[in-house]
Amino acid sequence: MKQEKFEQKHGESWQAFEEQLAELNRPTRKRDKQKIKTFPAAYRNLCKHLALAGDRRYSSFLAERLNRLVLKAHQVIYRSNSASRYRFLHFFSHGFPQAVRREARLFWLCSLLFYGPLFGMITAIHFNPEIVYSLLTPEMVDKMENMYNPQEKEAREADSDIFMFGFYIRNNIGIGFRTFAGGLFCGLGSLFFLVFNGLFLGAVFGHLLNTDFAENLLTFAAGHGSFELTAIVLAGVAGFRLGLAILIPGNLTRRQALGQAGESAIPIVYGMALMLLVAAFIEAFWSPRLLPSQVKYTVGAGLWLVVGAYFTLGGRKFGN
Amino acid sequence: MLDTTYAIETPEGVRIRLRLAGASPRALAALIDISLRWGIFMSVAPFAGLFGSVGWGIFAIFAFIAEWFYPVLFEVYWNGQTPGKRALKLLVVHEDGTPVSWSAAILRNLLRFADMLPLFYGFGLFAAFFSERSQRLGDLVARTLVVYREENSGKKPTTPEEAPLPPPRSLTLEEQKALIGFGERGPQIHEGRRRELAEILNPLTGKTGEDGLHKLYAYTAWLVGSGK
Repeated sequence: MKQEKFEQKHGESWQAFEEQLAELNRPTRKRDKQKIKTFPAAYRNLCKHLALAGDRRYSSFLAERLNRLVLKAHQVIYRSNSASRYRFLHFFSHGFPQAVRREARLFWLCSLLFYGPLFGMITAIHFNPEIVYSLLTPEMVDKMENMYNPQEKEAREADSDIFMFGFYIRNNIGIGFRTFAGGLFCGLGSLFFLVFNGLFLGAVFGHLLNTDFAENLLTFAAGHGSFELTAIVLAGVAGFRLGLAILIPGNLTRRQALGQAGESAIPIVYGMALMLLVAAFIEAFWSPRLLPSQVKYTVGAGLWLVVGAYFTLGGRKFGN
Repeated sequence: MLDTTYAIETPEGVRIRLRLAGASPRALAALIDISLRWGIFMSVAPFAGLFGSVGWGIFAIFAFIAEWFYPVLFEVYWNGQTPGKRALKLLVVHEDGTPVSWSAAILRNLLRFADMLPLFYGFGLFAAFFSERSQRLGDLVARTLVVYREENSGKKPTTPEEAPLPPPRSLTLEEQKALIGFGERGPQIHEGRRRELAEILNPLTGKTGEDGLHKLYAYTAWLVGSGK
């Protein structure tokens, strides 16, 4: 069949199809149901026309027009459902803890890579206080001391709480994202961030524990420690997940392995960011409050239990 | 064939063609986006100072969202286009042609941090140059593509009015398609060039200059089936 005849024969149906597409692009409630009833059949017909146009080598203009129509319809039919409220809640109750348990071995590895240097540094400084200067400059050490010095302590105003909240969000979640992204380089970026942050925190803690300000520091950190430290480890886990896809793709091509790793890692990234948000909130509004140490330690310990229970028990099926 | 077309085979068994965008237009689009984001920063920052610490705190949150999620919000709510991409007629889709989802948009933009290394998107450009589908690292993991926007190219080009004439010998399908294409686009090409192209087909038409051109148009009209 010659091209012009083909166009004459089917031109009207293509026009009608464009109208149906326009109707489908409106929000669901406002659609005219009658108009779009024949859409699937019309789509199949259109696909046939596209195939014919290609086969019979009709002009590119015609082929492109049909191609465009099919693409738009394909997108309408096959687009994924947007996240519903149910899926959002399901993430918290099941999705996130399950995702973490799935990567249990990576979790323990990253914990080792983080807490190992952290406690190692604390111990090292305990025996040789000078080591702190291998990581921090004297000015930074002074600044740290001033932050926790009881003599300088006044109750912080609400204003600066909000300032610190914003700061913690930008700083900490940024570090979490960078730790994750760094994992793409065969895990090396995540490794670097985990070890470095472990050493750094260990240096700060180790040094301040030797001073009189130890209590200030511990009561401050107790509240948000559980959320923040666990989140840093999780950022490493997500990063390593990507890196492992490149290092050990198993039976898949690296491209496939990366795609799957991305899917596995993204719930952990979401959860990690939310945990850091909670940690920032606690760190900005609860931790600086001047309350008896017992209260702070109890709350801190309680939160560690909550975090532990969440990941161990969350989303599990019990009994039959 | 040296082509940046990417074909998706749909469940209906047809192939949809998308045109992949290379590193250069994407780099330009990124530049526009970076400038725009910087501009927004600069215009908001002075206001932050007015509200003291609270202002700076809120500004920090705003900066955080802008740094990591500026592209995500645009890509999800604006059909895969950021302002920079829209300016260059690009858009982001999944590898199967569907519009980009939240997870994919977030994943590809978080990994932008890896693409930006070591300097000025070094790894990202490298990956985009050498990957089969022009994907940077973020695209590879998120399974997305950056393609050109398919849009209506305006009025349908009409072949010039000529009495149809069958070609002297039978042509292959490819040759027919080339001839039809010439017929449709001929009027848009520069006159000298038109004649030059028609000259190449001298063995077919047996004529030179304007005569050859009109004869080609006649063949095209016949192939297309106009006039009946």
